[in-house]
Amino acid sequence: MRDEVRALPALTGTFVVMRRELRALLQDRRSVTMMLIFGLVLPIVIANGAIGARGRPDIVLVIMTEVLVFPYIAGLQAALTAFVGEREHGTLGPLLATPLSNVSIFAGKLLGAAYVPSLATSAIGFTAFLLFLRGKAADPFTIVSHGVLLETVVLSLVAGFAMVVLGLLFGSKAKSVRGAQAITAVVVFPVIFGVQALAFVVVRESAWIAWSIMLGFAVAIVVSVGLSARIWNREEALVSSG
Amino acid sequence: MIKLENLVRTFGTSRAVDDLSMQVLDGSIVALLGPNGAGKTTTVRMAAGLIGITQGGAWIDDVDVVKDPARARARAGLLMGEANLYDNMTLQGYLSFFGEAYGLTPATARRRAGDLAAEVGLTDRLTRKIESFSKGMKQRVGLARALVNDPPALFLDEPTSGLDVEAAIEFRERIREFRHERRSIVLCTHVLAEAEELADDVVVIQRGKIVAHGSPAQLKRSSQGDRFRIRLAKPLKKYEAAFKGLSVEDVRFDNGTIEFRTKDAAGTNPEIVRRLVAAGADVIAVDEVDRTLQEAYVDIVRSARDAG
Repeated sequence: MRDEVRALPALTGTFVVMRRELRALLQDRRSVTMMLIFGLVLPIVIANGAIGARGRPDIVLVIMTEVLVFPYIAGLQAALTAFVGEREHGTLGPLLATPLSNVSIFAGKLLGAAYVPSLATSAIGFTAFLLFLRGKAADPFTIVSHGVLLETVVLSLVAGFAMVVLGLLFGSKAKSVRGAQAITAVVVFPVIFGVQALAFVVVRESAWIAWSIMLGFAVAIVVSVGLSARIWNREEALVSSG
Repeated sequence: MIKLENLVRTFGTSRAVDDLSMQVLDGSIVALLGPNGAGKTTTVRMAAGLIGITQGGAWIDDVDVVKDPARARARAGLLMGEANLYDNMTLQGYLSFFGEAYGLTPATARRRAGDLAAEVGLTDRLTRKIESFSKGMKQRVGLARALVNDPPALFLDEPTSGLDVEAAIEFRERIREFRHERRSIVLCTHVLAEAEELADDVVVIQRGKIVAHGSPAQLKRSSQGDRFRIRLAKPLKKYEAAFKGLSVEDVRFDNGTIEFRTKDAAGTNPEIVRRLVAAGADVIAVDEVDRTLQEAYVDIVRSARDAG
């Protein structure tokens, strides 16, 4: 047995942690309920509201960003539970005692608890939204160009990714999940309103503004991931948990 | 074998661990004792490759913890206080996950989970969620997790804290068995009786430095001398005179029993008895008083504190 034990390569380690996080998420009723609400119920309700916005592609796109970005709020909550919650309950310690690298633990948790389920929920929600509006007067495929639609989708996804990692960064110093949730409100609302405002920019076909902002978000993601990974490394996590 | 050489760890300007050296041989248990904040947990975390070492070196068998902390972690098993488990997982899923985190294939990890569940007596609970387990069971799961990589080095920090008497006895029994499995064990505990019962060697640290090191028997024979008890047939009024001018300390008299401490029993005790008899006392017995490790520990820690 001893001979079979080894330090896993970063990618394999990330996959092991990600799989556990996904399983834990799917076993948690509250998380599944949130995913169902954000992935099915909310998109239909929102799409129903969008029918009234016929002839107003900007409004339809703003509504569409909600469908795309809202699942990341749940993703951020899951990420906070996976990081701050585990530190709060002491369950992070045993994981840090394994040969898994800091990168594997951080990336595995971020992907498994936040990004993969958020992306999946967002995709399901978006599909439900489009199917509901298909053939109707507010069908995004007919009232805006495919380019603008793609820009809005990409912008929303990047914004969602940025929201999660920025929230994780802001919430990192909190001692409890509740504390972290309160702190991350500082990030969530500006990002949501910001994305909605940007949808107006996109629909007016100011592509360079949209792509510049997307680039800004991408830089924010890279910087935040770097800073978060530094904060959530083995040493810091253990020392701050006492 | 676990070997720590001149370990130093600083946090800002404070030295949490200061020039600490010790060795734990295969099949032996070393108890690491000290008051809260003495540096025990920091020492264990450094030795197991969880946090960096500011200065000095640590080895688990032939693995250099400083140079290859991941490989060192692969050779260490840790149980730090409460088990801190993922309560919403099944025992099988939990142990398999940790098996995979230690690099086992999913199939081997699953098999290992079954073996370990049997080893800690939880086979019938393999498919149950951990949240339904009692505290004692959870601590056994923590132990199974610490053994998932079949580690040659085990670090147990307060492993019996919060367990009821029966569960703690069972747990200690299991720790004793590790000795036969040739594992090197570092045991941090505030239960001095546990350390006395299990440890081959005891290291007492305070403010990050070693203030005493030796077998429990050696530590009980402290530098302040052995303790003796003289029993008299009836109480003596002026017993103090029998001790005058002799190298004795901490003399206590209670209803016909006198207790004192001396570093020179051979030179002092016969003279005390002679003086007592001359003063009219009937001496029934002179016994050496066995100190517990707890008493020795308190003396050591207080002396170290007084010394500054």
